[in-house]
Amino acid sequence: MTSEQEKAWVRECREGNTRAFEPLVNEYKKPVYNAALRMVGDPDDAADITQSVFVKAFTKLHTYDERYKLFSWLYRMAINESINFLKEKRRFQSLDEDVAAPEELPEAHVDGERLNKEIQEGLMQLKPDYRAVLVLKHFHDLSYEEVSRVLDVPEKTVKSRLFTARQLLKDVLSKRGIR
Amino acid sequence: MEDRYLQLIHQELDGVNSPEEHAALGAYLEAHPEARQLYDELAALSDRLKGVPMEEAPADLTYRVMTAIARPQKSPAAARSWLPSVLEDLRAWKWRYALSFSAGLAMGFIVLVVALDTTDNTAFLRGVMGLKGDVSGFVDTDAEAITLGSVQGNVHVASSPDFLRIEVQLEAAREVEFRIGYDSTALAFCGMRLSDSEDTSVLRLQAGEIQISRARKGRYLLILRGQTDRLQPLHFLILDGQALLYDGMLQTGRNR
Repeated sequence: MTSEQEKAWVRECREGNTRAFEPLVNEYKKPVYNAALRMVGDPDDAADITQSVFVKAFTKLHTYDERYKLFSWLYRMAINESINFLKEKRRFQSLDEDVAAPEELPEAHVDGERLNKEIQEGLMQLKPDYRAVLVLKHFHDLSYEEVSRVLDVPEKTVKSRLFTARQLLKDVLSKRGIR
Repeated sequence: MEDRYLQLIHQELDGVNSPEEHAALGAYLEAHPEARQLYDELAALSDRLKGVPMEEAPADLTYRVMTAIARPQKSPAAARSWLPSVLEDLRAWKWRYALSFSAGLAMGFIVLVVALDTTDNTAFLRGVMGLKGDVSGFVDTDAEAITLGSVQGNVHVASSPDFLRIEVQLEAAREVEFRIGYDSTALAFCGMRLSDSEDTSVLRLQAGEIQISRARKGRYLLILRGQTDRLQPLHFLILDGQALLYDGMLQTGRNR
Protein backbone atom coordinates (compact mmCIF):
# COMPACT_ATOMS: atom_id res chain seq x y z
CA MET A 1 0.00 0.00 0.00
CA THR A 2 1.46 3.36 -0.98
CA SER A 3 1.42 6.36 1.32
CA GLU A 4 -1.13 8.06 -0.94
CA GLN A 5 -3.45 5.04 -0.92
CA GLU A 6 -3.15 4.91 2.85
CA LYS A 7 -4.08 8.57 3.18
CA ALA A 8 -7.04 8.04 0.86
CA TRP A 9 -8.34 5.17 3.02
CA VAL A 10 -7.89 7.26 6.15
CA ARG A 11 -9.82 10.14 4.58
CA GLU A 12 -12.65 7.81 3.55
CA CYS A 13 -12.84 6.40 7.08
CA ARG A 14 -13.04 9.91 8.47
CA GLU A 15 -15.91 10.61 6.10
CA GLY A 16 -17.80 7.67 7.59
CA ASN A 17 -16.98 4.84 5.21
CA THR A 18 -16.44 1.97 7.65
CA ARG A 19 -15.35 -0.42 4.91
CA ALA A 20 -12.37 1.77 4.05
CA PHE A 21 -10.86 0.71 7.35
CA GLU A 22 -10.58 -2.92 6.25
CA PRO A 23 -7.51 -2.51 3.98
CA LEU A 24 -5.78 -0.60 6.78
CA VAL A 25 -6.47 -3.44 9.22
CA ASN A 26 -5.19 -5.96 6.69
CA GLU A 27 -2.05 -3.92 6.10
CA TYR A 28 -1.10 -3.45 9.74
CA LYS A 29 -2.68 -6.31 11.68
CA LYS A 30 0.43 -8.48 11.47
CA PRO A 31 2.98 -5.96 12.83
CA VAL A 32 0.54 -4.68 15.47
CA TYR A 33 -0.30 -8.23 16.55
CA ASN A 34 3.41 -9.11 16.73
CA ALA A 35 4.24 -6.01 18.76
CA ALA A 36 1.49 -6.94 21.23
CA LEU A 37 2.56 -10.59 21.23
CA ARG A 38 6.16 -9.71 22.12
CA MET A 39 4.95 -7.35 24.81
CA VAL A 40 2.45 -9.67 26.55
CA GLY A 41 3.69 -13.11 25.50
CA ASP A 42 0.29 -14.74 24.98
CA PRO A 43 -1.31 -15.13 21.51
CA ASP A 44 -4.91 -14.80 22.73
CA ASP A 45 -4.14 -11.69 24.78
CA ALA A 46 -2.20 -10.26 21.84
CA ALA A 47 -5.19 -10.84 19.53
CA ASP A 48 -7.53 -9.09 21.98
CA ILE A 49 -5.10 -6.17 22.30
CA THR A 50 -4.75 -5.91 18.52
CA GLN A 51 -8.52 -5.84 18.11
CA SER A 52 -8.78 -3.16 20.77
CA VAL A 53 -6.01 -1.11 19.11
CA PHE A 54 -7.78 -1.08 15.75
CA VAL A 55 -11.18 -0.31 17.24
CA LYS A 56 -9.67 2.60 19.18
CA ALA A 57 -7.76 3.71 16.09
CA PHE A 58 -11.00 3.82 14.12
CA THR A 59 -12.85 5.81 16.77
CA LYS A 60 -9.93 8.22 17.24
CA LEU A 61 -8.95 8.55 13.61
CA HIS A 62 -9.90 12.23 13.69
CA THR A 63 -7.00 12.79 16.13
CA TYR A 64 -4.40 11.11 13.87
CA ASP A 65 -1.90 13.62 12.48
CA GLU A 66 -1.24 12.71 8.86
CA ARG A 67 2.19 14.31 8.93
CA TYR A 68 3.36 11.18 10.75
CA LYS A 69 3.26 7.59 9.61
CA LEU A 70 0.16 5.63 10.47
CA PHE A 71 2.18 2.68 11.71
CA SER A 72 3.89 4.88 14.33
CA TRP A 73 0.48 5.87 15.64
CA LEU A 74 -0.74 2.25 15.67
CA TYR A 75 2.46 0.99 17.30
CA ARG A 76 2.12 3.61 20.00
CA MET A 77 -1.39 2.41 20.75
CA ALA A 78 -0.26 -1.22 20.66
CA ILE A 79 2.57 -0.59 23.13
CA ASN A 80 0.40 1.52 25.45
CA GLU A 81 -2.47 -0.96 25.30
CA SER A 82 -0.04 -3.81 26.06
CA ILE A 83 1.52 -1.95 28.99
CA ASN A 84 -1.93 -1.16 30.40
CA PHE A 85 -2.91 -4.81 29.98
CA LEU A 86 0.23 -5.93 31.82
CA LYS A 87 -0.40 -3.47 34.67
CA GLU A 88 -3.95 -4.76 35.01
CA LYS A 89 -2.76 -8.37 34.89
CA ARG A 90 -0.05 -7.68 37.43
CA ARG A 91 -2.66 -6.54 39.93
CA PHE A 92 -4.03 -10.06 39.94
CA GLN A 93 -0.72 -11.91 39.94
CA SER A 94 0.28 -13.71 43.08
CA LEU A 95 3.43 -12.69 44.86
CA ASP A 96 4.91 -16.11 44.13
CA GLU A 97 4.50 -15.67 40.39
CA ASP A 98 5.82 -12.15 40.64
CA VAL A 99 9.17 -13.05 42.15
CA ALA A 100 9.71 -16.41 40.51
CA ALA A 101 13.38 -16.76 39.63
CA PRO A 102 14.29 -17.72 36.10
CA GLU A 103 15.15 -21.33 35.59
CA GLU A 104 18.89 -21.70 35.13
CA LEU A 105 19.68 -24.08 32.34
CA PRO A 106 22.92 -25.70 31.26
CA GLU A 107 24.48 -24.21 28.18
CA ALA A 108 23.42 -26.29 25.23
CA HIS A 109 22.55 -26.14 21.61
CA VAL A 110 18.96 -25.07 21.26
CA ASP A 111 16.86 -25.45 18.18
CA GLY A 112 15.11 -22.50 16.55
CA GLU A 113 11.73 -23.06 18.12
CA ARG A 114 13.08 -23.42 21.61
CA LEU A 115 15.38 -20.45 21.10
CA ASN A 116 12.43 -18.29 20.12
CA LYS A 117 10.57 -19.46 23.21
CA GLU A 118 13.57 -18.70 25.41
CA ILE A 119 13.89 -15.25 23.88
CA GLN A 120 10.21 -14.54 24.52
CA GLU A 121 10.49 -15.75 28.11
CA GLY A 122 13.64 -13.66 28.51
CA LEU A 123 11.82 -10.61 27.19
CA MET A 124 9.00 -11.19 29.66
CA GLN A 125 11.49 -10.85 32.52
CA LEU A 126 12.37 -7.31 31.53
CA LYS A 127 10.40 -4.26 32.56
CA PRO A 128 7.81 -3.31 29.92
CA ASP A 129 9.68 -0.08 29.11
CA TYR A 130 12.83 -2.03 28.24
CA ARG A 131 10.83 -4.69 26.43
CA ALA A 132 9.14 -2.06 24.31
CA VAL A 133 12.38 -0.58 22.96
CA LEU A 134 13.76 -4.02 22.13
CA VAL A 135 10.53 -5.03 20.39
CA LEU A 136 10.40 -1.88 18.29
CA LYS A 137 14.11 -1.78 17.47
CA HIS A 138 14.89 -5.44 16.91
CA PHE A 139 11.61 -7.05 15.86
CA HIS A 140 10.21 -4.15 13.88
CA ASP A 141 13.48 -2.53 12.82
CA LEU A 142 12.44 1.00 13.71
CA SER A 143 15.03 3.80 13.82
CA TYR A 144 15.85 5.63 17.07
CA GLU A 145 13.73 8.52 15.81
CA GLU A 146 10.74 6.28 15.06
CA VAL A 147 11.01 4.52 18.43
CA SER A 148 11.22 7.93 20.05
CA ARG A 149 7.99 8.99 18.33
CA VAL A 150 6.17 5.77 19.15
CA LEU A 151 7.13 5.83 22.82
CA ASP A 152 6.94 9.60 23.09
CA VAL A 153 10.33 9.88 24.75
CA PRO A 154 13.50 11.70 23.60
CA GLU A 155 15.93 9.82 21.35
CA LYS A 156 18.51 10.02 24.10
CA THR A 157 16.16 8.07 26.36
CA VAL A 158 15.53 5.52 23.61
CA LYS A 159 19.27 4.89 23.29
CA SER A 160 19.79 4.67 27.01
CA ARG A 161 16.88 2.24 27.47
CA LEU A 162 17.90 0.18 24.47
CA PHE A 163 21.49 -0.23 25.60
CA THR A 164 20.40 -1.23 29.11
CA ALA A 165 17.69 -3.54 27.77
CA ARG A 166 20.13 -5.37 25.50
CA GLN A 167 22.56 -5.90 28.34
CA LEU A 168 19.76 -7.14 30.63
CA LEU A 169 18.35 -9.52 28.02
CA LYS A 170 21.83 -10.84 27.29
CA ASP A 171 22.30 -11.56 31.01
CA VAL A 172 18.84 -13.17 31.35
CA LEU A 173 19.42 -15.43 28.35
CA SER A 174 22.89 -16.25 29.54
CA LYS A 175 21.39 -17.51 32.81
CA ARG A 176 19.06 -19.66 30.73
CA GLY A 177 22.03 -21.23 29.00
CA ILE A 178 21.90 -19.16 25.83
CA ARG A 179 25.05 -17.30 24.97
CA MET B 1 35.01 0.03 29.89
CA GLU B 2 34.66 3.66 28.99
CA ASP B 3 31.06 4.76 28.48
CA ARG B 4 31.94 6.24 25.11
CA TYR B 5 33.02 2.86 23.73
CA LEU B 6 30.04 1.09 25.28
CA GLN B 7 27.84 3.53 23.41
CA LEU B 8 29.79 2.99 20.21
CA ILE B 9 29.32 -0.79 20.57
CA HIS B 10 25.55 -0.39 20.78
CA GLN B 11 25.48 2.14 17.95
CA GLU B 12 27.58 -0.23 15.83
CA LEU B 13 24.98 -2.94 16.39
CA ASP B 14 22.28 -0.51 15.28
CA GLY B 15 24.29 0.50 12.22
CA VAL B 16 24.42 4.19 13.04
CA ASN B 17 28.14 4.77 13.69
CA SER B 18 29.92 7.21 11.41
CA PRO B 19 33.05 5.92 9.54
CA GLU B 20 35.20 7.68 12.15
CA GLU B 21 33.31 6.11 15.05
CA HIS B 22 33.45 2.71 13.35
CA ALA B 23 37.22 2.99 12.99
CA ALA B 24 37.67 4.19 16.58
CA LEU B 25 35.63 1.29 17.89
CA GLY B 26 37.57 -1.20 15.74
CA ALA B 27 40.84 0.00 17.22
CA TYR B 28 39.45 -0.11 20.76
CA LEU B 29 38.11 -3.67 20.35
CA GLU B 30 41.46 -4.75 18.96
CA ALA B 31 43.19 -3.51 22.09
CA HIS B 32 40.57 -4.64 24.65
CA PRO B 33 39.60 -8.33 24.53
CA GLU B 34 36.86 -7.92 27.19
CA ALA B 35 35.24 -5.22 25.06
CA ARG B 36 35.53 -7.48 22.02
CA GLN B 37 33.81 -10.28 23.95
CA LEU B 38 30.96 -7.97 24.98
CA TYR B 39 30.58 -6.77 21.41
CA ASP B 40 30.48 -10.36 20.09
CA GLU B 41 27.88 -11.39 22.69
CA LEU B 42 25.66 -8.42 21.97
CA ALA B 43 26.02 -8.94 18.22
CA ALA B 44 24.96 -12.58 18.67
CA LEU B 45 21.96 -11.45 20.71
CA SER B 46 21.06 -8.89 18.07
CA ASP B 47 21.21 -11.56 15.34
CA ARG B 48 19.06 -13.91 17.41
CA LEU B 49 16.41 -11.27 17.93
CA LYS B 50 16.37 -10.46 14.23
CA GLY B 51 16.00 -14.19 13.51
CA VAL B 52 12.74 -14.50 15.46
CA PRO B 53 10.03 -14.79 12.80
CA MET B 54 6.87 -12.68 12.71
CA GLU B 55 3.81 -14.69 13.70
CA GLU B 56 0.71 -14.60 11.53
CA ALA B 57 -2.17 -12.68 13.05
CA PRO B 58 -5.29 -14.80 13.74
CA ALA B 59 -7.31 -15.43 10.60
CA ASP B 60 -10.48 -13.86 11.95
CA LEU B 61 -8.86 -10.69 13.29
CA THR B 62 -10.02 -8.44 10.45
CA TYR B 63 -13.53 -9.79 10.82
CA ARG B 64 -13.44 -9.19 14.58
CA VAL B 65 -12.31 -5.60 14.10
CA MET B 66 -14.78 -4.83 11.31
CA THR B 67 -17.66 -6.36 13.27
CA ALA B 68 -16.65 -4.43 16.38
CA ILE B 69 -16.50 -1.07 14.61
CA ALA B 70 -19.87 -1.71 13.00
CA ARG B 71 -21.40 -1.85 16.49
CA PRO B 72 -22.06 1.15 18.68
CA GLN B 73 -18.82 1.89 20.50
CA LYS B 74 -18.81 1.15 24.20
CA SER B 75 -16.29 1.83 26.89
CA PRO B 76 -14.08 -1.20 27.69
CA ALA B 77 -15.91 -1.66 30.97
CA ALA B 78 -19.27 -1.58 29.23
CA ALA B 79 -18.01 -3.93 26.54
CA ARG B 80 -17.01 -6.49 29.17
CA SER B 81 -20.41 -6.25 30.71
CA TRP B 82 -22.17 -8.16 27.92
CA LEU B 83 -24.99 -9.69 29.93
CA PRO B 84 -27.06 -6.56 30.61
CA SER B 85 -26.94 -5.56 26.96
CA VAL B 86 -27.95 -9.04 25.77
CA LEU B 87 -30.85 -9.12 28.22
CA GLU B 88 -31.84 -5.62 27.22
CA ASP B 89 -31.82 -6.61 23.53
CA LEU B 90 -33.82 -9.73 24.32
CA ARG B 91 -36.47 -7.78 26.21
CA ALA B 92 -36.68 -5.19 23.46
CA TRP B 93 -37.07 -7.76 20.73
CA LYS B 94 -39.74 -9.75 22.53
CA TRP B 95 -41.81 -6.57 22.40
CA ARG B 96 -41.12 -6.26 18.73
CA TYR B 97 -42.21 -9.84 18.19
CA ALA B 98 -45.52 -9.00 19.79
CA LEU B 99 -45.87 -5.92 17.66
CA SER B 100 -45.03 -7.88 14.54
CA PHE B 101 -47.73 -10.47 15.25
CA SER B 102 -50.40 -8.00 16.22
CA ALA B 103 -49.74 -5.78 13.23
CA GLY B 104 -50.46 -8.74 10.97
CA LEU B 105 -47.26 -8.57 9.04
CA ALA B 106 -47.82 -12.11 7.81
CA MET B 107 -44.74 -13.22 9.58
CA GLY B 108 -44.51 -14.87 12.91
CA PHE B 109 -41.74 -16.41 14.78
CA ILE B 110 -42.12 -19.02 17.42
CA VAL B 111 -39.34 -19.36 19.84
CA LEU B 112 -39.18 -23.01 20.75
CA VAL B 113 -36.20 -22.97 22.94
CA VAL B 114 -34.40 -19.90 24.09
CA ALA B 115 -31.97 -20.14 26.87
CA LEU B 116 -29.08 -18.08 28.02
CA ASP B 117 -25.87 -20.04 28.05
CA THR B 118 -24.22 -19.28 31.34
CA THR B 119 -21.57 -21.94 31.13
CA ASP B 120 -18.93 -19.97 29.32
CA ASN B 121 -17.65 -16.45 29.14
CA THR B 122 -19.13 -15.62 25.79
CA ALA B 123 -22.57 -16.82 26.89
CA PHE B 124 -24.50 -16.23 23.72
CA LEU B 125 -28.19 -16.60 23.37
CA ARG B 126 -28.78 -20.12 22.10
CA GLY B 127 -31.87 -21.67 20.70
CA VAL B 128 -33.94 -22.93 17.84
CA MET B 129 -36.49 -20.74 16.15
CA GLY B 130 -39.20 -21.55 13.69
CA LEU B 131 -40.56 -19.18 11.08
CA LYS B 132 -44.26 -19.29 10.11
CA GLY B 133 -45.89 -17.72 7.14
CA ASP B 134 -44.51 -16.16 4.01
CA VAL B 135 -42.69 -12.92 3.58
CA SER B 136 -43.16 -11.08 0.32
CA GLY B 137 -42.02 -7.87 -1.26
CA PHE B 138 -38.31 -8.63 -1.08
CA VAL B 139 -35.85 -7.33 -3.64
CA ASP B 140 -32.57 -9.16 -4.21
CA THR B 141 -29.60 -7.02 -3.22
CA ASP B 142 -26.62 -9.36 -3.39
CA ALA B 143 -25.69 -12.94 -4.16
CA GLU B 144 -22.40 -14.77 -3.78
CA ALA B 145 -21.45 -18.27 -4.86
CA ILE B 146 -19.31 -20.20 -2.40
CA THR B 147 -16.87 -22.50 -4.15
CA LEU B 148 -14.22 -23.43 -1.66
CA GLY B 149 -13.37 -27.03 -2.39
CA SER B 150 -14.51 -28.40 0.95
CA VAL B 151 -17.49 -26.03 1.11
CA GLN B 152 -19.92 -25.33 -1.70
CA GLY B 153 -23.06 -23.25 -1.74
CA ASN B 154 -24.37 -19.75 -2.13
CA VAL B 155 -25.67 -16.83 -0.15
CA HIS B 156 -28.46 -14.47 -1.19
CA VAL B 157 -29.47 -11.22 0.43
CA ALA B 158 -32.83 -9.54 -0.17
CA SER B 159 -34.55 -6.63 1.48
CA SER B 160 -38.08 -5.38 1.96
CA PRO B 161 -39.02 -2.04 3.51
CA ASP B 162 -38.76 -3.48 7.03
CA PHE B 163 -36.80 -6.69 6.79
CA LEU B 164 -33.59 -8.14 5.51
CA ARG B 165 -33.52 -11.76 4.41
CA ILE B 166 -30.30 -13.76 4.21
CA GLU B 167 -30.45 -17.17 2.67
CA VAL B 168 -27.43 -19.44 2.98
CA GLN B 169 -27.23 -22.76 1.20
CA LEU B 170 -24.27 -24.83 2.30
CA GLU B 171 -22.82 -28.21 1.65
CA ALA B 172 -19.55 -28.89 3.44
CA ALA B 173 -17.29 -31.91 3.64
CA ARG B 174 -17.23 -31.47 7.43
CA GLU B 175 -18.84 -29.22 9.98
CA VAL B 176 -18.04 -25.54 9.56
CA GLU B 177 -19.15 -22.34 11.19
CA PHE B 178 -20.49 -19.30 9.43
CA ARG B 179 -20.95 -15.83 10.87
CA ILE B 180 -22.88 -12.83 9.74
CA GLY B 181 -21.84 -9.52 11.19
CA TYR B 182 -24.27 -6.63 10.95
CA ASP B 183 -24.70 -3.12 12.21
CA SER B 184 -26.68 -3.67 15.41
CA THR B 185 -27.65 0.00 15.53
CA ALA B 186 -29.64 -0.53 12.34
CA LEU B 187 -30.64 -4.21 12.32
CA ALA B 188 -31.83 -6.78 14.81
CA PHE B 189 -32.19 -10.50 14.48
CA CYS B 190 -35.80 -11.66 14.14
CA GLY B 191 -35.77 -15.32 13.25
CA MET B 192 -34.33 -18.24 11.42
CA ARG B 193 -35.58 -21.21 9.48
CA LEU B 194 -33.46 -24.24 8.82
CA SER B 195 -34.54 -26.67 6.13
CA ASP B 196 -33.14 -29.57 4.11
CA SER B 197 -30.66 -29.94 6.87
CA GLU B 198 -28.60 -32.98 7.68
CA ASP B 199 -26.76 -31.34 10.51
CA THR B 200 -27.36 -30.26 14.07
CA SER B 201 -26.44 -26.61 13.76
CA VAL B 202 -26.17 -24.37 16.76
CA LEU B 203 -27.31 -20.78 16.56
CA ARG B 204 -25.53 -18.23 18.69
CA LEU B 205 -26.43 -14.59 18.87
CA GLN B 206 -24.72 -11.56 20.22
CA ALA B 207 -25.20 -7.92 19.43
CA GLY B 208 -24.18 -7.41 15.83
CA GLU B 209 -23.35 -11.00 15.03
CA ILE B 210 -25.10 -14.25 14.15
CA GLN B 211 -23.01 -17.39 14.46
CA ILE B 212 -24.09 -20.75 13.16
CA SER B 213 -21.73 -23.52 14.10
CA ARG B 214 -21.72 -27.23 13.31
CA ALA B 215 -23.18 -26.45 9.90
CA ARG B 216 -22.67 -29.15 7.29
CA LYS B 217 -25.50 -29.33 4.83
CA GLY B 218 -28.59 -27.24 4.83
CA ARG B 219 -30.49 -24.15 3.82
CA TYR B 220 -30.58 -21.41 6.40
CA LEU B 221 -33.01 -18.55 6.18
CA LEU B 222 -32.26 -15.65 8.49
CA ILE B 223 -34.46 -12.61 8.96
CA LEU B 224 -33.33 -9.30 10.38
CA ARG B 225 -35.42 -6.23 10.89
CA GLY B 226 -34.13 -2.88 9.78
CA GLN B 227 -34.32 -0.01 12.20
CA THR B 228 -33.03 2.89 10.16
CA ASP B 229 -32.97 4.08 6.61
CA ARG B 230 -29.31 3.41 6.01
CA LEU B 231 -27.72 -0.01 6.35
CA GLN B 232 -24.08 -1.02 6.28
CA PRO B 233 -23.11 -4.10 4.27
CA LEU B 234 -23.14 -7.43 6.07
CA HIS B 235 -19.90 -9.19 6.89
CA PHE B 236 -20.07 -12.86 5.99
CA LEU B 237 -17.43 -15.42 6.78
CA ILE B 238 -16.99 -19.15 6.98
CA LEU B 239 -14.54 -20.82 9.35
CA ASP B 240 -13.26 -24.33 9.67
CA GLY B 241 -12.06 -24.42 13.26
CA GLN B 242 -9.61 -21.51 13.50
CA ALA B 243 -9.03 -21.41 9.74
CA LEU B 244 -10.81 -18.67 7.83
CA LEU B 245 -12.23 -20.13 4.62
CA TYR B 246 -14.28 -17.22 3.32
CA ASP B 247 -14.43 -13.55 4.21
CA GLY B 248 -16.64 -11.19 2.24
CA MET B 249 -19.06 -8.31 2.41
CA LEU B 250 -22.70 -8.56 1.30
CA GLN B 251 -24.58 -5.55 0.05
CA THR B 252 -27.88 -4.80 1.73
CA GLY B 253 -28.97 -2.30 -0.91
CA ARG B 254 -31.09 -0.45 1.57
CA ASN B 255 -31.29 3.28 1.19
CA ARG B 256 -34.82 4.41 1.75
